[in-house]
Amino acid sequence: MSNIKAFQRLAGLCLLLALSSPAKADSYMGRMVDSVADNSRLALDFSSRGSHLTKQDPIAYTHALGFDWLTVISDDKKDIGTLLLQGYLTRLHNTQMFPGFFQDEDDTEFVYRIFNFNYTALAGNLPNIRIGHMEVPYGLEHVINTNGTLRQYAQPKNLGIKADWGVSLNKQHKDFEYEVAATTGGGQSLDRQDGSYVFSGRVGSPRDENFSYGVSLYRSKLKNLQRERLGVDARYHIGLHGIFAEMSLGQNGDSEIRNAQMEWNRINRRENITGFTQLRYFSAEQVSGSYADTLDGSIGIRYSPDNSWTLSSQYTRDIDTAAGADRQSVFSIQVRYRYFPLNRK
Amino acid sequence: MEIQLIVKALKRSLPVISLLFFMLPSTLNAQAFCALRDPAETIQKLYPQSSTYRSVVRTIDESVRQEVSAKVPPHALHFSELGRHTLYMVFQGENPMGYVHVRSEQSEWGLVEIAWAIDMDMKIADFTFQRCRNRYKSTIESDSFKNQIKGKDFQQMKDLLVAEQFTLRPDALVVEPKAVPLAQVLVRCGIKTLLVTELAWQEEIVKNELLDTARSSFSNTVDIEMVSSPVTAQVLSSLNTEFDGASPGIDRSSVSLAKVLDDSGAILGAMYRGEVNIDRKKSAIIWAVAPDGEVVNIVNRSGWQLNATKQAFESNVGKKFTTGTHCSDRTQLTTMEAVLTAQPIFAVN
Repeated sequence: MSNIKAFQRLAGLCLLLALSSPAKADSYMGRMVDSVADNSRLALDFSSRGSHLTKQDPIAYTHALGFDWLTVISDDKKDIGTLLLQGYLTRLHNTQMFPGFFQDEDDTEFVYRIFNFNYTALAGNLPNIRIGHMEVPYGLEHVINTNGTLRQYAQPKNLGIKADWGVSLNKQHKDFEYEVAATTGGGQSLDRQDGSYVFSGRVGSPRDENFSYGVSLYRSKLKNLQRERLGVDARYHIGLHGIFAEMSLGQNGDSEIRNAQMEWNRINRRENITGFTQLRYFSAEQVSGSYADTLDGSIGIRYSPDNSWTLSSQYTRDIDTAAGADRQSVFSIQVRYRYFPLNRK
Repeated sequence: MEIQLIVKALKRSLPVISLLFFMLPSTLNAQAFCALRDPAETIQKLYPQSSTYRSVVRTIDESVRQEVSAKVPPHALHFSELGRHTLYMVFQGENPMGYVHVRSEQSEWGLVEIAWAIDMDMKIADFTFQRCRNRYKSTIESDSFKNQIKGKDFQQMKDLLVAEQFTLRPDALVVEPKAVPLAQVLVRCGIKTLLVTELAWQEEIVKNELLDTARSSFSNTVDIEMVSSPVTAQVLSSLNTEFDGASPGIDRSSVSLAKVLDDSGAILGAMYRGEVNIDRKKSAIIWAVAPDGEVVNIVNRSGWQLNATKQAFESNVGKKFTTGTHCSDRTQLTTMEAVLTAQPIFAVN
């Protein structure tokens, strides 16, 4: 199914959820539509990224032009839910390592990043219900949004997917927060691919604490490969420094998988400059019973001189590769500009 | 081939982009910034009696920044603080009971994010840190410290700092020395929060003040309906005739007027709000006026400075004011202006 069909389905479901709220007056829908416009925050988002891989010329480019729209739908006395829609026309040029929803290294696609409605009107301790395209809730990625940035965690390599269409239950409580999701495994496509599915969930302590941690569970079938993971993650902030870690154990089919990642980062007082360094370890059991281990590291910086511009750069290098594989390194630079038009009041 | 692909992709995205442009009219600016990630939990913590909340997003723009710079020069908003911000209106049943607003303040330990509970009279009701990397966070969140901050309005918060500076007055708060830097950050953030909230959400705050006062003034009040541009040429003419071209001192550009409605939509009375310089302080005073010109209630929501002033205003409650009524003091003159400005509401009815 095309992405546009997926969007139509989502829009229909959002409308259904909105209409299902109780106590409608004649102008009830009108007031809700008003709140959608009043509470809207829209950014037009452009980014251009150049990456140079060792032993490869010319430079690979990724350009993205899209919108990032967040709004809260309310009636007179309560919020009903949050709509977050991010869609990007994304152009690859000579990009050798590309996600599966691109046809080749010189492709252009309309890509959904986060594109969902989170229904928040259930009372008391009942969960919020998210529906649409969302990040698979697992590990550090669930806490730190890396969409559209050079800084990434190991989620795609570890889980085989980063974001997917589906439904989740989520809530932040005083002492813990959680999100559990069932998604199609289609990635950009709303439909399941060859019986694909993803079940994933993370329970953690409140993310705003200086020390926070979480436990994640994951099970999926993607491209006929079954994956299972148990992960733990933790973040510790000391002043302007942050130390993050994540470890996972599990299986890809019959092969045992172990991986881990660590990050040290530092921000400045205004938090418009972030520097970070990461180490990622991945180990997969071979048919022979031995393990193929890889280790890579990254160092990067991000600078936002104002609300609109973000400049970032990152260098990633293989430190240890599986037997026979060449060591690669990638140097990337990204410029991102966000324009904020059309917001009222 | 490339162009065909781009055109194809553009066509696919066109319905979504068109929908956004169609739904979002007018004005420039800004960025999503400073909201509660999952508001329900924090709002419940700040207002345990609350039943629901509603987000109201407004733009904090250059005009707000300039007003903040003029009123509290050392606490100017940085450009990164401009943008789209959320005020949560908190309800207990049908009635608004207060607000929650989150603001970030720069500190030695990065940005400190504080969720502020503000009561209906624009005083600090409570606060909690959404994010704070300082180790003395729990000291500042203790009841003994919080109780020193709760109930303070903008001026009282401002008075905690040395004039025109960032530092706390030595005798302002009881706090252990190592927690003073964080306490200073908190007070600065509180000052900006109260001021910015009042400036950027003035329409909603005034409406809630009038609704809340209407409920305590007229039984059977269900809702109020704001009157746009209440000081019309006709009203000005009648005020000029009544006061011989003079003014009793109400800032007419600040006037808000609302019809008080019962469940059938009938008008029970009018709520008039005007800013008056009284006892060397600019105060917003609210008059509740019945259709026959009787004054039902007079309230200063930020509190009267002097008991004598309070008594003088309240002595007008229960009296009827109509054109030609003799006024013997300023409280009666301002009350007369409120009643005359409200009169056209009842004439239409």
